[in-house]
Amino acid sequence: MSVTVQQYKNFVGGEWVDAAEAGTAEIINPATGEAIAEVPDGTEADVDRAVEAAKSAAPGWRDATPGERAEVLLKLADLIDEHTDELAELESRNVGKPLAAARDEMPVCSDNIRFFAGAARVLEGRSTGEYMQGYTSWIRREPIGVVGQVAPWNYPLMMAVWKFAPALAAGNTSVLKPSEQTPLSTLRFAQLAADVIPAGVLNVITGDGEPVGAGIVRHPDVRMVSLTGDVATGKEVARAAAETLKRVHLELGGKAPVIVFDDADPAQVAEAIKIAGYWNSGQDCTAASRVVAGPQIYDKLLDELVPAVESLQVGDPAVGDEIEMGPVISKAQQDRVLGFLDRAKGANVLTGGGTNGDRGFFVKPTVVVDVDQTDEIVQREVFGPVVTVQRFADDDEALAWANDVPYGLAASVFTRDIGRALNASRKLEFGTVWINDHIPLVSEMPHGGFKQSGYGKDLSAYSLEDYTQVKHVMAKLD
Amino acid sequence: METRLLIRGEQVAGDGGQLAVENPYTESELASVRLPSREQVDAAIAGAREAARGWAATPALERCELLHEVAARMRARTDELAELMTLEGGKPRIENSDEVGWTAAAFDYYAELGRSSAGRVIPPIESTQLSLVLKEPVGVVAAIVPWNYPLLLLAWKLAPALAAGNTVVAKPSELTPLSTLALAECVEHLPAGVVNILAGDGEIGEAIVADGRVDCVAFTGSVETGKRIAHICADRLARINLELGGKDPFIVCPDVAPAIETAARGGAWAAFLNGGQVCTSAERFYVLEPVYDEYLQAFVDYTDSLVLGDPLDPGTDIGPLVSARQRKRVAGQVEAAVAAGAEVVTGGGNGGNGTGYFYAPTVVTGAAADTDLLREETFGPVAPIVRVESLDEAIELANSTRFGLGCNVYTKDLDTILRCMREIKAGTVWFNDPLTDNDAGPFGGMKQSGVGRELGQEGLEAFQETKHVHLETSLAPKDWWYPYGRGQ
Repeated sequence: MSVTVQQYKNFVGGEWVDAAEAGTAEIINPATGEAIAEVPDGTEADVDRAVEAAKSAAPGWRDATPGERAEVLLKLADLIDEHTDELAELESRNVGKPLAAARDEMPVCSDNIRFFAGAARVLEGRSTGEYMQGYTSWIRREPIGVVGQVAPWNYPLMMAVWKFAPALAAGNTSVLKPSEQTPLSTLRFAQLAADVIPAGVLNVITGDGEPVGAGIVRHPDVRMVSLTGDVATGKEVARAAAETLKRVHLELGGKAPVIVFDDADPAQVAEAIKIAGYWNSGQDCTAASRVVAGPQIYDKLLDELVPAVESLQVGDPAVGDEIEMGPVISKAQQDRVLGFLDRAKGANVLTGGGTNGDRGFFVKPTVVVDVDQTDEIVQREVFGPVVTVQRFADDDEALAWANDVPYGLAASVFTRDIGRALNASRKLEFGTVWINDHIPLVSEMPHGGFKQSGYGKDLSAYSLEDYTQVKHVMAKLD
Repeated sequence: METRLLIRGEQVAGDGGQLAVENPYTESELASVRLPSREQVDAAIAGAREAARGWAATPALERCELLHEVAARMRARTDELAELMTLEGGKPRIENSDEVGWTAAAFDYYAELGRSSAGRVIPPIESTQLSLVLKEPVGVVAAIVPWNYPLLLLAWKLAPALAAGNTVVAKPSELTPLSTLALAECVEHLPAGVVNILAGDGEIGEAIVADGRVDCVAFTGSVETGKRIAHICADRLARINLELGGKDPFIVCPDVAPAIETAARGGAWAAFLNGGQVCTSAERFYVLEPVYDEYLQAFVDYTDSLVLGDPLDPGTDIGPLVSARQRKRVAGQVEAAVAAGAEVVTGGGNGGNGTGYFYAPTVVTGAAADTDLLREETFGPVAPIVRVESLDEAIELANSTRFGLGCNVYTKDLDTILRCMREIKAGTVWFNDPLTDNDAGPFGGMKQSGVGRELGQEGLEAFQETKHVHLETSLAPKDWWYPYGRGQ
């Protein structure tokens, strides 16, 4: 297969532009290590230009009715549906994910946008009433203004959608920075959107975290910044945003536990972990990365899980649809994941645990046992195809271990007993708790973390609320 | 005992006929109530009408404080009210004391809910517009209440109606008017006419329901009376909120085997509470085959330990039924089932009580599916227990009557719970905790068990009208106005 290096530009104020200081950067296919595209490498000047464009567009977009905004968003959703194959192929090549998986993401992206298009029209202020005699009150929900949004590399277009769709639906204008590693699908989407969306409402600029991402966070005219990324970056954003008291919306890392009680079905659980732990090479902030299994089911579960994981077909997604898992995103990520395994002294790797072939950034799907709750591999996010399995003694220990990490994004519990399921759903300190499954998301329900997994919700009406501010209007009646 | 009506803020003697109120435990006359004359019924409705505007305009915080005061006054009169309900209804005194507490709690709940009640600001269709949704009182509400929980079922209407800014004309059952008339003391601090309390039978009830000045009728009682009210109200499209009968199923699943005695106690309580005269009494038990024999045995043993007697006696579990008529109806259903092949395992008859309208707690097996005992409301202490082979069969049978008020299920199995909560057609589904009410949880029936809901947010909305206010701030003409097709 011949590799063509395609040139991309940034999308600012409805125009296609090179980086203000003319820099460019190469984009790599992680399955081969080869360059596949060249994109602008922005600087703070690009941030200034994009924020200016978003600011100019803000009054018009704010005053558009929800119905008018919905119309634009619905057209954007249609564009994704019409270009599913092209966008999925870009995503597959840029992230290294199986083409079928990338294709599955596209209808989710368009559904997310359609949900926010509709939700914008039912966004309501809570009250109209007379709480003091002679006065009446009502609430206006207003957009915040220019919003800066920084997306990650694991689901590039979907994460961009999770950010710009609620922001735009609520009447904000956006400066969006895709990951410097995976900007292609977002830039291509912007090209498609150019004819539909008023100039300056959505701006896409590329470049590294410093200066572009950080520049957005520093910019005084950006009123809110949302980030999906790792915890360290989240903390930097929160600190920098404090300088201008921007609103901050952070969806950070996770270390999702899977509690398997003895009454669960080991085969069903193994199948769920095979998907939830290794989907997208485990590069999912809700990945099922820590299994804590009951004393009776532990051995049976491993008997099912290890062969299930070993059955995964790993390789370059370009080989064909039989490939179920691709590489991780980069050499640095590969080194990081393997580093966790190297440092896990005393642990036993039941399967996996190395690279796969000599080309591309692969890590074999890995199952690790004999780990302690305090071990690094249990405590910190690996963000790769690595699942640890621990054996708990009783229900209290299971819940204690599940909660004993700095993260709080998602968790799951497998049991047929309603008491155990409800007890766990109450005591687990995570923003999402699944019962008898792990990983599915819907547009209508919120996604976001507790503890150091961040604050603010993606998806659902809660996300829309995060992108608005509340105004109380009080009127004297006579 | 002298009784007075409450009309336009004044406690007055009735000018109409006499109504004898009987004590169902002694079968002797307890009181003679002077009923309202036609003019007094008219005055009560007129009083409510006149008070409506002022009450609707009263700030929510003030209404809130006044309703909390109603609750406080009720609690202070717990002994008096509980005794009256015991004497007139035959329900054990301990249940009546609880009822006064729940009644007061409903007032406290709606005091706050009314205060927090709010409309919405909705998105406009043009940016020069403001669109509001306002919640306003309906106007005058008639509250028609049955004899099994005279105060509680009044409170579930009166408290939300008042909290939403309506005025009320209340009428208790002709069997149990005394406790409701005594309630006048608890509402006398409200502005005159906001609450009016009458007494009388169905004839007076119908005069109230048919009155064009009544905007909404809230009723708890039989399906037949509910339909009659719906017909009358349909003529002028008055709002209705009807909480009617039930034939509640009670499903016992095999996974509760280790706790079968708890499930049996819960079932017996659900079947025999207040002599089975609860609209959500468990009236049909569907027990899965693997636990059937054990469950039946535990249920019968527990039933045999229950104490029938004087409802004023703290040791009594079950008092008499409310009336001779009610006992006849219950006995008739059991006899018909036996004639069709059912067996009375325990109970039947009066439990050895010569005086008082007693009917012993009764367990029936082998009742045919098409007998009234398994199809129509019994409203008495009878538990027909049916063996079923599968959860599918239990759910199908549970959904097989014209009623859909409540349903109980005993299980801890997650899949069973998720299935039952979606597939059972009932306004309330209780798992492992029969008949527990929650002021925040809407209560009412599907199918012929009623229309609308009491309690919760829905219970307040039953007494609210919705008004959409569309405000255009620009005076520019719209381009879709006339003239068409001739340019501007």
